[in-house]
Amino acid sequence: MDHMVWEVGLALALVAGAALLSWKLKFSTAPFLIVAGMLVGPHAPHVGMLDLRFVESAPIIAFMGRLGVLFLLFYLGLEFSVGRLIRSGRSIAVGGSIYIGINFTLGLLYPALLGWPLRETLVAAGITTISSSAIVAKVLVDLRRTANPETEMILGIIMFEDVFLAVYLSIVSGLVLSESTSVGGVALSAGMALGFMLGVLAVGRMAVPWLNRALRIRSDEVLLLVVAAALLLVAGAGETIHVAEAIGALLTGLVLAETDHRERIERMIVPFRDFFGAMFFFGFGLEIDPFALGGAVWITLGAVILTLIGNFAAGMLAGRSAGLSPTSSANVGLTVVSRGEFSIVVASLGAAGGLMQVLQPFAALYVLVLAVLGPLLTRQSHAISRALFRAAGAVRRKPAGES
Amino acid sequence: MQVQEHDLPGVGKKFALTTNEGERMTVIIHNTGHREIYSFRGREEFPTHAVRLEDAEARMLGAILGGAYFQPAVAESMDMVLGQLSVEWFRVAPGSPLAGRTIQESAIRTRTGASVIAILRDGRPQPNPGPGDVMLAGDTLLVVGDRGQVQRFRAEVGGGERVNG
Repeated sequence: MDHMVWEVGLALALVAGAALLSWKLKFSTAPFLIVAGMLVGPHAPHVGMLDLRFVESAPIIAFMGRLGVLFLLFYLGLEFSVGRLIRSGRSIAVGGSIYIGINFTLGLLYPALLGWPLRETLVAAGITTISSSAIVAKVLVDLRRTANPETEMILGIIMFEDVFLAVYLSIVSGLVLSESTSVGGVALSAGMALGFMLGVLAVGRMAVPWLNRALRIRSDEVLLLVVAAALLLVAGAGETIHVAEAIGALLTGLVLAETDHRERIERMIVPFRDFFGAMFFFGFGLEIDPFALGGAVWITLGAVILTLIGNFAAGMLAGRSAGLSPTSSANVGLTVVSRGEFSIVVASLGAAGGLMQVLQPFAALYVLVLAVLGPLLTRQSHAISRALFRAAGAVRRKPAGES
Repeated sequence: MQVQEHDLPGVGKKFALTTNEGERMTVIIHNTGHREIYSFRGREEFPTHAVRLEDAEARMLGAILGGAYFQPAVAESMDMVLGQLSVEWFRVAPGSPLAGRTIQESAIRTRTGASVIAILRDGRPQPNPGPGDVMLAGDTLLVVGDRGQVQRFRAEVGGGERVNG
């Protein structure tokens, strides 16, 4: 017990080292943190003070990770504004619907074909459908593609996915976290989750003028404490009725996003999101035994291939329907394949609900592959689409020549 | 010129500009405060060149483009030393021995060696003031001399203050 600070310090050293490496390599941090977590854990060696098994500190690391999910989703809610969504309008709705339609269907079919039960299927579909907002935005900025014609479409699809994630998480969390097995019981808990969500949003919307006044707190310290208390209370209240605490956090963010204090709260919360978010990814890796990864390799490969095909097809369709050129449309499909934080959030729901063990290593491998492959595909998108179009042209010409 | 504004959720705002001659450029204002400028060559679909500016740099560029950068920036410190020659701005504070006096009355040139070569009042410059021209509190004086003379001027005016010195 006395080594707790030392152990957490060791964990933080690993987290910082992994983050530093990812930064040097210009990659997003999440996959590196997961790998760092996987490498250590109960199977790791320990030499004197250098105990990398993290047995004593595992609960506290797990708890910090839980807070990390809350801050990640709270921030997502803050960033998100209903007004902005309405303004962005049709192009987002069309592109987003095409994307979700294709990829969510594939996401459901694949685990169903593997013979997974309903709850596992739903969680797996969530893992494979949702792109990583963080990686996509970062790659677009890094590659200086923010002015490209397809960028609005890409960010629109990402935003649509975020909305989908919010609704999906609330429904699925009701299903996964409830103990009932009857159809009626499951429907009831899903309905309760949805009701909780709509209830908080409705009350929150009405409370905006009051919140504007109540949060007019000059001291940053006091405001931070008030916001953190609200965040944990709403998240915890949701948990008592089997709504994932992440949903409560997201809702708190959505409500506060409509107040005048959004930007100030956002600025205050970023360090917490970064710190506890990093602990979440590390903790997620820590739970995974790297020797158990073998059982998930083939499942993961299949899912990766389906994701690549589904996303590319959705990008082409959505892009062409919005009047983008084939090259731009290909960019859309190749950019949105990155997976990261939200896939892991969905997967952690599976762990919380005590679902099949294979979901965690599957999610970890899947995210590792696509968090690395996604940015690479985005970088090479022009060369890839040129090659693909040439191949498609050759195929199309051949039957024409034969007839 | 046509300007189209678009939201880039999670990144910032995009302004797509098309000039009357049909040239296209895009300005991205990132949430981080950075600005990026892209231009499109001819009919090309993808931008070919990018400049990235920090917030302060972008403001400076904006001032240059707006023609504001070359107007006498009184608020800026204008301290240039050309060899021995020194040119400086001074604001006449209320209570300064210069306030309310003509240049001749103040005998400032005889006493310090430095000359007042312009008076700025309410943002309007009056170049080459004559001996009979009055200096008022709140005026800004453009003073020229060698370093010693300008330093003596500073000491002499006492209540005066160097602008942003």
